Amino acid sequence: MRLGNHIRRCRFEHNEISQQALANAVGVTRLTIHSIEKGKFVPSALLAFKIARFFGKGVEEVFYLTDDDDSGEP
Amino acid sequence: MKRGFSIANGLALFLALVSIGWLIYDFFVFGFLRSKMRRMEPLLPSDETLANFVWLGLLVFLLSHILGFIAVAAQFRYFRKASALRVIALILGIFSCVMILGDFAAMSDVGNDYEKGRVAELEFRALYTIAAIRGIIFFSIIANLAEAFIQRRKIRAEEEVVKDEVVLTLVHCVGVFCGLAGLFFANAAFVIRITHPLLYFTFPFLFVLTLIPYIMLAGYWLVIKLKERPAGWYDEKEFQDISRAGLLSMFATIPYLAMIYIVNYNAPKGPIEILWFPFYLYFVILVFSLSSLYFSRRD
Repeated sequence: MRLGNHIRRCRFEHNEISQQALANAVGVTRLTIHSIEKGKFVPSALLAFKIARFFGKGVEEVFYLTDDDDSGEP
Repeated sequence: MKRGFSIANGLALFLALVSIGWLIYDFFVFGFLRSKMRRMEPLLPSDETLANFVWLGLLVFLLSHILGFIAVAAQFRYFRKASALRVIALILGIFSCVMILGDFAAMSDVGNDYEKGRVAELEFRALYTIAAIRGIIFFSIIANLAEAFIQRRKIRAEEEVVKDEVVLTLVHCVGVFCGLAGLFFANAAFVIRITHPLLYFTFPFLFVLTLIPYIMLAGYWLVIKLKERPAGWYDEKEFQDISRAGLLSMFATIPYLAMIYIVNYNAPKGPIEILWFPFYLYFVILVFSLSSLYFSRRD
């Protein structure tokens, strides 16, 4: 299992804000947002909630669980 | 914004070029004064004026380095990227800045020896060596400043950054360079077997000189972070990367120290008796910095 996300899509729906702007809003570095977006870093529950709240969505609307062999978004 | 960057970069570039010219002047004046001193000819007031310009050159070098540091800081701020040329220019710039003290000491010795009727051959050789090294360093600084000057059009509107990763990345880059340089000097001291009394003074100086850029940048990072609570010094990914790097460094150190112990055991009065600490210190800095960089870039 791995954690997928729709952060990139959410950013574009949210006035195309940059990774840096999102990083500033949730108090992390741009590299961390970049790694989460790429699915290479699994954020803590607190950070996942912060990101979802920033976009005005529920956590499950931004993050989803997927099987290792399932690379596509649901 | 762009204007301030261009002014800082342009001024630093101009002074670096002036410094190169001054270095060439220094070479000629050193040669002229050295030959006069060898012949034990009295120095004329005009010769002293020439020498005073060499002293003035030290001030120009210092100013050039200060402006260079400001320009490189502006480059990191606006480009937000630790390019190889930028990191190399920064590290070599710090080395070169510290070497101004060496210039000062060697030139003072030349003057004192002349007053006592001696020619300070060793000091002259040191001055030539420092000038040659500084020339190479200035060329790398000029290359970096020129590259930044050409790329200034790529600077976009400055974006506010709440949590910055550039300084920490830079500390790791400098750590890799200093670690490698320190290990090189430690190996050199081991191979030479520091029997010559001069090496007892030269190598500790080189070890300290190698550490200065790392200490300065790590200190700068710490000063920035002191405004924050310690819990907020790293974000969660940085904390994970640092923890992994720390663990890796610890595991890597054990066989490394065992190796040093074996060498020391077999030759207890050998150079390793003194060199174990630089070997250990630079190895840890290298492994920690390299693995931190790897983990932060891999994910």
